[in-house]
Amino acid sequence: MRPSRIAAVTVALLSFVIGFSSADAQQCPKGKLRVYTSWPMQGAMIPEGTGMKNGVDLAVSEVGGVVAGYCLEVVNLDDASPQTGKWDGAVEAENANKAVGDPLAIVYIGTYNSGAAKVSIPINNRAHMAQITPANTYPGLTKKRGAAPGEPEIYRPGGFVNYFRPVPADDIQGAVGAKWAKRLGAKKVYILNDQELYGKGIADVFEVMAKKLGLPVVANEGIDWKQPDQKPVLTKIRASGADMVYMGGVIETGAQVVIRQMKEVGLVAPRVRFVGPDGLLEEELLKGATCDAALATEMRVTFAGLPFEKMRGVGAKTYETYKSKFGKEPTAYALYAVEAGRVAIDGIRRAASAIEKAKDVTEKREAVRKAIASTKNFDGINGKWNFDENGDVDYDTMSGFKVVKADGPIGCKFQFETILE
Amino acid sequence: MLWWEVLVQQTINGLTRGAVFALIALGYTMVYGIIELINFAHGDVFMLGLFISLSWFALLGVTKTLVGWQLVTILPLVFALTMLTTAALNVAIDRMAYRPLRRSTRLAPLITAIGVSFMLENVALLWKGPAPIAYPDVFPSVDILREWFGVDSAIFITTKDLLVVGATIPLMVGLNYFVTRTRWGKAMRATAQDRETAQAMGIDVERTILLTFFVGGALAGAAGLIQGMYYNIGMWWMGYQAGLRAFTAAVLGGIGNMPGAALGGLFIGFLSAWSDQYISARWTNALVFAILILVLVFRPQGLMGERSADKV
Amino acid sequence: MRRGLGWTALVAALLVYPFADRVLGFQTVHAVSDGMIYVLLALGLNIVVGYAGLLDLGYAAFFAIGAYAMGLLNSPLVGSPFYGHAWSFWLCIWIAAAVSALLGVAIGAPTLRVRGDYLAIITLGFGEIIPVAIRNLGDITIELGSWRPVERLNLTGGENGVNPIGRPHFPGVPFETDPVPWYFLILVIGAASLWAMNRLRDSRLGRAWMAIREDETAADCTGVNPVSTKLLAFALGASFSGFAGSVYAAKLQAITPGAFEFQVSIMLLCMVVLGGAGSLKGVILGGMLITLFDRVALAQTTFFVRWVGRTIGAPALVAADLTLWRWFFFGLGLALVMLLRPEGLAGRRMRPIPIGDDADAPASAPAPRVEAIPGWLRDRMRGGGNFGTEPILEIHGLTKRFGGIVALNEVDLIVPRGAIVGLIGPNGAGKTTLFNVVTGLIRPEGGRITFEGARLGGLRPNAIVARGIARTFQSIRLFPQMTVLENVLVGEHCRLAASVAGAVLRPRAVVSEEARARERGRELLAFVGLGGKEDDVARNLPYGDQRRLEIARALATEPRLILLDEPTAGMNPRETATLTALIGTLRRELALSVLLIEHDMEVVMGVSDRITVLDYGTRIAEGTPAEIQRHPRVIEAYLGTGYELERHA
Repeated sequence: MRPSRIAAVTVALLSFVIGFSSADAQQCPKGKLRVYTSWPMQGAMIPEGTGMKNGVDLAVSEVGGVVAGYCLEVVNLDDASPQTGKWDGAVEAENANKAVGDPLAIVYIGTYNSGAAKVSIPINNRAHMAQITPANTYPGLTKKRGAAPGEPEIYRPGGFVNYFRPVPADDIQGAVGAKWAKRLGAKKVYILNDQELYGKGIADVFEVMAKKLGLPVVANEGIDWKQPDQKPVLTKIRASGADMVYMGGVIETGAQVVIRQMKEVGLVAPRVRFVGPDGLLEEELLKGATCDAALATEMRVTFAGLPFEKMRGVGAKTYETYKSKFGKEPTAYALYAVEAGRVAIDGIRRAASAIEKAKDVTEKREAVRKAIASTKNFDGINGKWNFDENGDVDYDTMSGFKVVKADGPIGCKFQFETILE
Repeated sequence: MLWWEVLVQQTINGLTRGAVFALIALGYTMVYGIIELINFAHGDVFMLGLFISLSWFALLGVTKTLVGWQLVTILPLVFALTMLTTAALNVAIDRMAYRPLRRSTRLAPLITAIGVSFMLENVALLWKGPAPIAYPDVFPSVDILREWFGVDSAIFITTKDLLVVGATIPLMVGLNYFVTRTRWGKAMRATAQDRETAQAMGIDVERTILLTFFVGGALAGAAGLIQGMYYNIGMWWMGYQAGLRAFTAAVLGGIGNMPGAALGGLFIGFLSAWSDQYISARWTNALVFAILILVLVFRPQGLMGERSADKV
Repeated sequence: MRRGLGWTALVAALLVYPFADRVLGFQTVHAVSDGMIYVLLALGLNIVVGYAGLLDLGYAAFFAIGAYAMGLLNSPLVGSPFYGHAWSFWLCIWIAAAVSALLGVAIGAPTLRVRGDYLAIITLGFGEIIPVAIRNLGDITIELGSWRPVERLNLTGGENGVNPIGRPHFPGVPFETDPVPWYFLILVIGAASLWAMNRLRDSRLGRAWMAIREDETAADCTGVNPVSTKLLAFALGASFSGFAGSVYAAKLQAITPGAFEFQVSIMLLCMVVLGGAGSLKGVILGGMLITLFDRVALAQTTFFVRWVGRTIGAPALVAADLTLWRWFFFGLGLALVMLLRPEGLAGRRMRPIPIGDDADAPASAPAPRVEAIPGWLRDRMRGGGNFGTEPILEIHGLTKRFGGIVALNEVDLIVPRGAIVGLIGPNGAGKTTLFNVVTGLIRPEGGRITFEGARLGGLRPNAIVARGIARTFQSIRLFPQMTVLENVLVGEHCRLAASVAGAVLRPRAVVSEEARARERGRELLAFVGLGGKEDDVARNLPYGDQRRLEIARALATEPRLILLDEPTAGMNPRETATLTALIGTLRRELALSVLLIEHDMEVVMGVSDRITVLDYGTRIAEGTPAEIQRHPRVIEAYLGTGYELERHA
């Protein structure tokens, strides 16, 4: 085949394709916009992933799928690696790139894991795309406190904020956790972490805050969570004389093992108690750790925001709507996904005229980004709030849960204990 | 706790940890001795042993801590059932995955073993779910020093610690008797030394290999059951790491050398427990693997093995 | 012509693809580029596993090193000494490749001492240690009492990884936002790597790798240095993954330690094994199949199964998720490939080894003709020295023990230049042990070996070959899966000079050297009677041909002394006669000295100038064939076990 013939064939093919793809029906007066979501949707994350997907769908259905004349389409992406079933930077980068490459994409809702957000924020930033997370709590994504050197500027290659979180960050949760520990009468804390971004990050903040409060910290130790045997580490804790164990981790990384075996080596209340962050606030944990051990260690966890049943106003209404629409209790972050969806829709609405005037897709996204950044007095599920200059919410309501005996197959549950500030 | 109490306690932790490694390492070393295969799937047989024993307890209706006569009837029964199941599983793996490759290159069965290991892990993941699962307190836990002797010490020795030691030692002694005294055991040793000569002497080599996988699988099953009762937790991924540590133990003792494997298991147990205490838990894995590499490079015959002449 | 057309179409398709993808709105360019990076990694692994036969279970470690080299140099962490001095992407990819290669040597060096499956475990150990180290080196505090020389030092970014990583700058090319330039960058790197690997395969080094893979001892005794050859395999294999890792890091803009765990190594191994270790096409095929399976097939099949479930109303099928079975299928694939098609999908299918067709074969071996002796061999071998009087090999007081057994006891032996010396003795007398000691395979406890006036003590087998001693083995040790010509070319290895760079770039000197080597190989094969079988796979040759090929391979090393270990064993009388004639011709025409172990007394007595007799490791007699036949101790030794001498003499 001579080059000229190849060229001819290619041109024919391309023109066919172009003609084909532009034959899209136009039912929405101003056209279509896409909202991308990205978080793990497989393995252990199926319940939470589905819950958050439901949340965004709920927000979109509230406005009938149309905002200021634009039809909204939600594209759900999964950022878990098929190989490990956990979130994966490569997949998240691919998702963000996919969104950025789609000329109809206007807002990116995600991620669940803070590590994944680190990957997608800069990619979206370069494209001026607003990203709203329903669940990331790692402080360094938005602010200096509790951050690694250089954060958060490194995620903002364009020099502006494109990442917003309607959820209080871990620096607040870690700090609140430390205050709570102090209030509970702890004299000496031993901190463990799972050596993952979330667990280590929140453990570090806890450590800093505890020291500031004058609460002695024996160590902040990374454990090998793949081991089914944590007795040597727990023995070390026993030898240190600490009377509280704080573990930064999530349910996939072995907190079950620690709690279960704390009882085995005699680390039980009143001598030693256990406190953790909201990554452990899942019923699944109680199954693995057993109620015996969770009760014996007086296990407590902090949670960013209020428990659903304590919410008022918009929050209470959302909670009811979710339950009736999907026929089950919302998962831990499902209502924050509703909130993220609403913030996005609100931003698009306020930017509608600018979107129409925009010359290209980047200008459209920039208009929405600016609108979201200026969100003020938003009527959210935890009350009214504003985005600050970092893209963080300005409320810091937290709640504390404690494991108590309960009926049912598990035999215990997390029960709201107190509001923490 | 005083420094010596910490040391004693960590040594007890290491002893129980090491006893489990030793049981797994024995299976590794026996199979390697006889067909020179690093049976990658062995750790996963151990992991499945834990899950299978859980099912046996459930089938027998055991949900609470065993007491009194139950301990001496149900517990041995579950031991036997679990060991039989994993032994059969191990034999089936050999028949299907390794036996057709007896005459091929050495790397072929090794790669197959990795494949089987992945399959077993995946099956366990789907069976029990991705999160760690609780193992019921079937074995009573009594603080011996305090409740039996009335000594108030910072050191914790429970009946569970006794269980690990009390179950492992008879198994090892029994294995030793089996290998050195019985006809079958002698056939195993002869086959390990020189397969062709053994065959010429009238030993059924294939049956001996089958027996080796059977015994190795049974030991792995016992280790799984002990692990479950002692640590009360099981996860689908633990076979891989336990397998690697047990393999390190087998190499340390001189691969193919059974007392060596048992001692190697204990050594790795002590070492990892002490490392958790005195270095840092996050470096323990690197330390274990560094030892594996050093031993393989500088003393491939193992710390206890003698340098043997290569078969040329 | 048709081949050319196929290539044009392939190149055109590769060039047009990203634009077509954009127009169609598929957005697959990112995924395809990532897939290409994995294929590139698999190709690098193929050098180690496929070519050199070294099973590497921790290859992802090199990938990690490449990625971190890029990350840490191109986007230095705050607090690292490089902070504020970011280096260009275009420089960093070379540094990453070099660092990976160095690490390949560092990991490879200690493993050279150990056998195949131990080596696999060591690489696995390194593969486990490196992610742990990367994770932990993000937060180092060293505490000695109250003195803290190092406090919270961050070398690697710890569990955060390096993030974000800068992207390459190239005037006018939008690497920042567009996947297409990445596609082409990776395509160029991939094509260049393929080109280099293809050239490496057909070079002096490529043949040496394969020889090591086939039979390390035989390769060593044919003049291939196993140490440097294996290290080069590790280094080159690692450097390709260094490239891949660095591009991957820059493309993703973020790396975390979790991305380089055991599963990645295994997936790469799957690609190599599935496609066919050693075959470039096979590895590419394997890589594409696995990527496709992983990303498309499982998900699509799940949709299909669910659809079937909904149609027939089976709730179990509706809820099915095959993606959860991913590792099951991977494991099954590995096992099945090994069980059913161990050579891989695109590997070279082996014909079964012919059995018992020696008798049917026509008199395949013509008697060696003096005229057929390659001229170059004549030129090389006509050594100086006093023919027949000056010793070429002197062995004095050689002793070797295995445990309590004395295999060689103070043995003395002299081979005069240009002579044929026979070495006989009952089974277990230590004859092969003597060969193994002379060729450096085993170390003696005592004694002295002098070749052409220089001591051989402590030399490696390949160095002894380079000095001019070649050997054959009692049980034939060819490189069974290589062709006849390649076997001989491995013999020429130590007389060729091409380096790694030479093998890839092929300057004129290397091209002509290679052509000359092939020509010589052909002449040599014609001489021993294997003309026309150059491209047959060695293991498919009949027995007698294999013996002659082994001798041709030994001759290709241009020896002045050749050690033949029972060369006529298993041959029929006619083949034996041809071979005896060949040995005679070699000595007569080339002044080649021969040390010969032989059980066939007719052959030994007929061809040898002098004979040494060993019994229980001790030399019991030495002399001319006539003297030996009358020697009382020889008769006693042989009558004691009762055979051969009586029968033949």
